[in-house]
Amino acid sequence: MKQVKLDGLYKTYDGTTPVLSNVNATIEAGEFFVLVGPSGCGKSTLLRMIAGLEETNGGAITIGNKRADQLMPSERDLSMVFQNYALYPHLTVFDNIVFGLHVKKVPKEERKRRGRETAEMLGLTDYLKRKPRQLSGGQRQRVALARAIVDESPVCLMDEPLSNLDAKLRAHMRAEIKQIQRRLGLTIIYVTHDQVEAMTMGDRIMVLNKGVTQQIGTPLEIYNQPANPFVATFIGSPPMNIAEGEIKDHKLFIEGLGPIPLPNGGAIDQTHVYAGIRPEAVRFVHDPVREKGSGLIEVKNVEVLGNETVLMFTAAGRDWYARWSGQWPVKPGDRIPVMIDYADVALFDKASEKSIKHGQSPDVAAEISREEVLL
Amino acid sequence: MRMRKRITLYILLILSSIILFFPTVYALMVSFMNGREVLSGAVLPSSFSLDNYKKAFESLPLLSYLWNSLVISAAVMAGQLIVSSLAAFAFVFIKFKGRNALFFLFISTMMVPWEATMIPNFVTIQELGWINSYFGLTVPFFALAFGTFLLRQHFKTIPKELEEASQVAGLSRFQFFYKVVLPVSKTSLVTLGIYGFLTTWNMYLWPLLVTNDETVRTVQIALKQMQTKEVSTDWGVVMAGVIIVVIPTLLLLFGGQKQLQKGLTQGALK
Amino acid sequence: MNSAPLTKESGYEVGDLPEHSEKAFPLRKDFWQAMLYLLPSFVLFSVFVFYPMFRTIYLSFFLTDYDGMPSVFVGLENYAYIFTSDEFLKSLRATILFVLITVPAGVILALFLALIANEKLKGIGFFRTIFSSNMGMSVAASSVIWLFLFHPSLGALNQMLSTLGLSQVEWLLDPTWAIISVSVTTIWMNTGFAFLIILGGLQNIDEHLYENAGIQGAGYWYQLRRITLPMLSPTMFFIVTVSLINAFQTFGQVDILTQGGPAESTNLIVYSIYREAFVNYQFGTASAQAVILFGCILIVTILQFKFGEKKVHYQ
Ligand SMILES: Nc1ncnc2c1ncn2[C@@H]1O[C@H](COP(=O)(O)OP(=O)(O)O)[C@@H](O)[C@H]1O
Ligand SMILES: [Mg+2]
Repeated sequence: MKQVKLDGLYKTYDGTTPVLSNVNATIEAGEFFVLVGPSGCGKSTLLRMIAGLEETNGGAITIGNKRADQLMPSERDLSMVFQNYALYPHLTVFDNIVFGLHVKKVPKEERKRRGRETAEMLGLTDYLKRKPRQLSGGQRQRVALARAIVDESPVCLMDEPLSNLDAKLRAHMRAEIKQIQRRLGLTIIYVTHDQVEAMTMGDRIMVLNKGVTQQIGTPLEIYNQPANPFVATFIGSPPMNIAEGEIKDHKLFIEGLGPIPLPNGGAIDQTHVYAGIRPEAVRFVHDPVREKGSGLIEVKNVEVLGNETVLMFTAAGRDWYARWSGQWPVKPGDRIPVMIDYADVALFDKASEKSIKHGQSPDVAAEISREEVLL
Repeated sequence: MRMRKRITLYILLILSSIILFFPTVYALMVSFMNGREVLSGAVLPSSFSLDNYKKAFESLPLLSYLWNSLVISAAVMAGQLIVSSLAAFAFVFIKFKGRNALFFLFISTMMVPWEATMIPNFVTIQELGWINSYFGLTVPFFALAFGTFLLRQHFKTIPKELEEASQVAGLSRFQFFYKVVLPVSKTSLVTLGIYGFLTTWNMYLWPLLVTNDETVRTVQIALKQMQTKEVSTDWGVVMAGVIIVVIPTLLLLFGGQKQLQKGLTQGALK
Repeated sequence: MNSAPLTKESGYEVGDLPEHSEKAFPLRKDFWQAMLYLLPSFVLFSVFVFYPMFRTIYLSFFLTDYDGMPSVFVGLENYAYIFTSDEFLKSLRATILFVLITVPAGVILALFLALIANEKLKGIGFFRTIFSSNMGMSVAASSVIWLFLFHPSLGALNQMLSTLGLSQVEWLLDPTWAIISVSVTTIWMNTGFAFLIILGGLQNIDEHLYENAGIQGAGYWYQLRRITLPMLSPTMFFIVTVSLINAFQTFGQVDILTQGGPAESTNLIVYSIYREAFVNYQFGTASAQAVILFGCILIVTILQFKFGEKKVHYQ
């Protein structure tokens, strides 16, 4: 297994507009590294640059200890899973799996053994003689996976490999890929636009927007300490509520909500900020008058999901969400008192969009130590 | 479907079939008739005697003509498949300057009718010493803009990722061509193959020009020979010749009809 | 070189980048590789299409000797000659008449056959095979069969006429009938291909369109006019273009059925070129005729694309 190092990568297709600029990252050996970002932000481009399918216009890629950005794809010692699987339609499942071994002139016996083993691992043993078109979507996906891992390449690249599957199968394959990765200790660089996939699979996540790295970190770091409003709203569902706010008289003012008092000693230099509040931090209050930072909201939409209820309302000219656990008897048009605790608010500087203060997530507040769980 | 519509359709289908197929069936019937029956204007032969076929093979070296036709058609088919698929591959899988202009140039050759250029071509073949040789009958037809076009349409449907997967696996470009692109495009290749074989087997004007002895003469020219040879044509024998000539192509057509239809419509319309 | 060309935005510099190597993305090499793949086609097209085309135009300005070599430059005289020659004008007229008969009739017949063969009926495969079988009939075979059918006394056509008590027709000897006879043979021969293509076009039309129209109560003719024909227009465009070009190139039928007669009535242009070049050895005037043929096809194709393509409905 090898480390992959990206150093100031730069890419442009037309010579002027950058598609990627100054991308830096070190993917450790054996790590599950997820590249996440909205569609068109350059994830695939970055992955394809690592694969050698797209040339770099600046910067360096190092795989293992070898400078790789001028090597042919086949010389980079990696495997790849494509979104549409790219199975060879004229070959059987087995021949698809061992195609790369064949090219690399691995002896026949070994080819057979490794092909069988991999097929077994992915539950494809019964389908080895079939052609790809005789398989279901999920089975094709497994063949593509098998083809990528049979190589025993030190690095495996995956570009939205689950996006063509239905939701249930996707959840299943998420777990399965993760398990295989752990078992074989693979280095995987995984591209997705789905933040759930990123959160559930990644050891570390890199959030990309418009070709610029927004943040790199573990899933919880990214969720709890988003570096800027983009990351804050991109990760989490429903997204974090964001609004412009003003800090005056030791209070945070957000249009449409009551002023939120700052705690003693919590003074802040900036006056113009973005305030971010996770939906679960918008809480119901019984007595709006006595509690500080409360206000009345008018409910615009309600989604009752069985174990939780999501309300939508308007504040500061934007759609806001509140998420409460349990089933709430609320209807659109209802006016409901809510409050926001300053401790839960994340603040970002309005000009630079840099984080000033992280919000304390309600779950973190009730933190239980690992020792207690294991007891 | 309503009964009335169904019956109307069957009537139309049967009538059309009879009208369309009558000449062929009639030729088959005449091929079994003796001279007297032909002259009497009979529709059915009294017996299915193979005398005419025997005579046809005796009066002309038909067997060697058939062989010539077979060799020439197979060679043109193979040549067209190779040359067209190479060109189509370049047009689809290699990015190079002037690709579109060059493709347009290729397509423009479809508008130059072979008949309009036959004079210089005849002279060229003469100068190459290819009169009465397989070369003269095959090589000029190897490059086929239509074939390149047809295959290009099909190659374009091959996902880009398949090429990239092959690159990651370490295939060279030429390996990608013959290990992936060709096998994946089998249907189009078969279509083009059938098309090439049929058109070459049925070629008439060019063999008439570049053959003047029996060495490489094709069956089509044999038919003309049969029909003009004797003063009073023995129609039974001539029709036997016709049947012999059309059987290979009809068999090929019946076998490959679905394939041909699918491939040709794709090529023509996409 | 010390700094890579990076954006000002990133402000990032990478030291000691190697020169962009030709190895991973060999664009310049790509060009030569492409040429390698294209070489066979290119050589063959040059020798057997482009060269002879220009050579034909060149020859059309010369008188030629017996070996077909140009001997005397005569400018446009060959053209002047053929356009005053009764024979060529007749040939041109016959060709145009022939095209006007065979193309519409052939295409409509094929369309009709394809429409009735596109229904879901038992045994439809058999009918489709019959309808497309003529594609396997060569020019020579078809012409010989029809030569017999047209035979004045033995031919089935005249026998049928006399059975019906009608007077017999001099199919190939009467100048008016001869061109029709050659046309009928041609249409019969070419329906197979046109049928197959049109049937393919019909089968490409989405079933759901008909199902929807059926639910809305549209009848057969309405569906034909509003769905089938518009959706089929690209196919029809293709087949009309191909038929037009084919019709201009007709040779075998004429050679076997009429040899251009009677009274030049079936002396179609390719046959005329053939005779001028390979019977009379007048390569110069034959080439001038060939240039005219090329011009005709060019004009027809351009007109087709100019006026035909507009009316075509592509999905
Ligand atoms: N081959 C290409 N030529 C030009 N622009 C491209 C090409 N591939 C991608 N792009 C552009 O680069 C940007 C990033 O694309 P991509 O990496 O595919 O995004 P993602 O995978 O994150 O959705 C997009 O704006 C896209 O339009
Ligand atoms: Mg992508």
